[in-house]
Amino acid sequence: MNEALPVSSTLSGVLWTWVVPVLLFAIAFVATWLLYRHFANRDEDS
Amino acid sequence: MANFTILDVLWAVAFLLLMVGGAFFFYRLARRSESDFFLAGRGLPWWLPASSVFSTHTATDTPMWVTGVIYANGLRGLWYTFFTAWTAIGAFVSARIFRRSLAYTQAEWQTQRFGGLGAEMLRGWMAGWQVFMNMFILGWVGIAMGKVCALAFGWPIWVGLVLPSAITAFYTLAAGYWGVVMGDFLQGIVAIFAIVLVSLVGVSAAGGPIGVTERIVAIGEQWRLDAFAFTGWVDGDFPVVWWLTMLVISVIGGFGMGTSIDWYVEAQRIQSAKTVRDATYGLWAGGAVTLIRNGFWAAGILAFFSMLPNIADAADYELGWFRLGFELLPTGLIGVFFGAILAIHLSTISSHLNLGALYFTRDIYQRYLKPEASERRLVWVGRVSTFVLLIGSFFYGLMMEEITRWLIFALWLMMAGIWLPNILQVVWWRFNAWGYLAGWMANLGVSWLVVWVLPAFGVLPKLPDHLQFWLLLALGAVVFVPVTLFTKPEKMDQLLRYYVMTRPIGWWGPVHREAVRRGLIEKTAAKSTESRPVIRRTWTPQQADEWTREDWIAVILSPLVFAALMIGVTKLLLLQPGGLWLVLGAVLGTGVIYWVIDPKLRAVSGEYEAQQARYVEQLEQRVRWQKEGGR
Repeated sequence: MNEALPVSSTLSGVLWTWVVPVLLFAIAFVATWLLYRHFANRDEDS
Repeated sequence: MANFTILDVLWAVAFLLLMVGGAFFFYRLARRSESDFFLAGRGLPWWLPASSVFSTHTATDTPMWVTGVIYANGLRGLWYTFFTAWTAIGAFVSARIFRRSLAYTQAEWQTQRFGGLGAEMLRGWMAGWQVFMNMFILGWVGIAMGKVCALAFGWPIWVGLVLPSAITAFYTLAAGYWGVVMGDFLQGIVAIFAIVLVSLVGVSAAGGPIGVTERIVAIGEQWRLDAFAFTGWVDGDFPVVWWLTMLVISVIGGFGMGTSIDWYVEAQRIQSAKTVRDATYGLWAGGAVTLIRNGFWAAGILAFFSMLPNIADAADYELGWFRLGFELLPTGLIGVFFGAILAIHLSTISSHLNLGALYFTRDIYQRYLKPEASERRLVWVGRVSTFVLLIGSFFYGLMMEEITRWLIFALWLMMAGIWLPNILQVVWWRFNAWGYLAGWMANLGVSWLVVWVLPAFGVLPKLPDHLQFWLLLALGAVVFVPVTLFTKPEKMDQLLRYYVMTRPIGWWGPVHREAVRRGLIEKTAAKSTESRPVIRRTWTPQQADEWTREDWIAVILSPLVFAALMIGVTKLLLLQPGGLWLVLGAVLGTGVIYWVIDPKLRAVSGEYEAQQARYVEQLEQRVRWQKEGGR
């Protein structure tokens, strides 16, 4: 059976628990929104 | 099991909703036409197909089998993942030819390349095979997710198989390829973040690059840090002949179509690009990022090995990368990590659902059952076939146990006997539909015989992988070469139509001369006495149609760049000698390729797109039926 890794995490704190996930979420959200706006608008123009 | 807190569940659900909702949002674009539902209207800039190539190449089973080969073989295991390098040459050769054909699928392309009854039989066969194959791939990727969910939550495997795939089907049914490719972009962002972060955290936790190296050296396993640690020319786990065979299969395979099972998925990405140039860069960049990903993974997995070097069971060590994420990331990021696992799962499931549905809709339903079907009906059929594929994949998934065994069988053997026909159909005018069909049928029979049946009865010894490949290739050739030569070549009119449209590479002399004689193309400029610069930077469309030394420079440099990127990234992360130089060399090589080939690709794309705009309009028979009151 699997034994646990013999080390512990090197990351912790508000930065990794909240700030980084929020930033990643925001980047992904904005990128999707910009893509949709671009392609939907382009279609209306054509 | 992973230690999930409420915060982790929150982040995992948030990313899942974003990925599913973001992709679903594109349903309005998908419902317009068959072209939109399956090719996003053929208008994507290169970076969207590139992100889709990367995301589709990154499935839930991928970190398992990459972990498996790196844990068992060290850095030399990276070469198992180098099959992706078919995109190195494929981007500059087969992608250009296929994009110019405008065919939705390889089955459709084959009815342009070949003619008559043989071509129709081939199209029907390829379509049926691809519907089956996509269901099969959905099954094995699904069962990999079942294992990950069992590790993370202790769920029964069937729950992880069914639930995420059903969620994926929700947006794939609604938004078709628009949802797939936009979801892939979004999922690619999340996946790259997780892959880079978990690998770096793994290396850091093991004591940093020096710590990983010292641990591996301390247990006398320093050969694991050498990507070229051969065990001999023909003997051992990693003989030179295996490595050479793998290079031939992947790199030379880029001249053909269908030499890798990934080709069929990427063919859809190639065709969805807005120009030939975008198709080329999309495939190339997607392949390059995929190999860089492997470099990151390898560093993380070597760190995992350095901490737990004695895991004997493949089913246990295959989960090494997942364990790094679940055991080393802090609260919050575990949820994001699971969101990333969902991302790589969703992207692959959605791609294969849509691709299987494409083959059924375009190559079976529209071609043979209802050619006059309206755009609205075709989109509807696409959605129904997506659902049927989903249900079928659950049954396949439940029949599979070990991921790596199935994958290696599919990657290595189910293509061995048709590897050469897949190249010959592109490069040799005389190769015909009957030869290709004969190669396929022979392969289906002999691959099972050589791999399983004959060794089981003691008739044939169990051969190493590379010998199996060459034996299957030879046995296939014994069948398809005589069949090709004893049957008639394709009709010249058929070949001319195809040649003028796609301008293929290879041995097309008789067709080229006939095209010149009939005034369909201009006489080859390359044969004129006019001098030219060593590297031409200004092209006329006619000059750009020819295969020239600029293409060959890209074709030769590209696989070297890919190999340097893959090995260099791992070595750089582990601060191994040569890592920085390999990465810098790869960046320089990329710059040279771009400088040499870009002017030519622009000339090909500009002229070609202008010529074919009207043809595409006819081909698509685009009807915006929402204007007619449809939904």
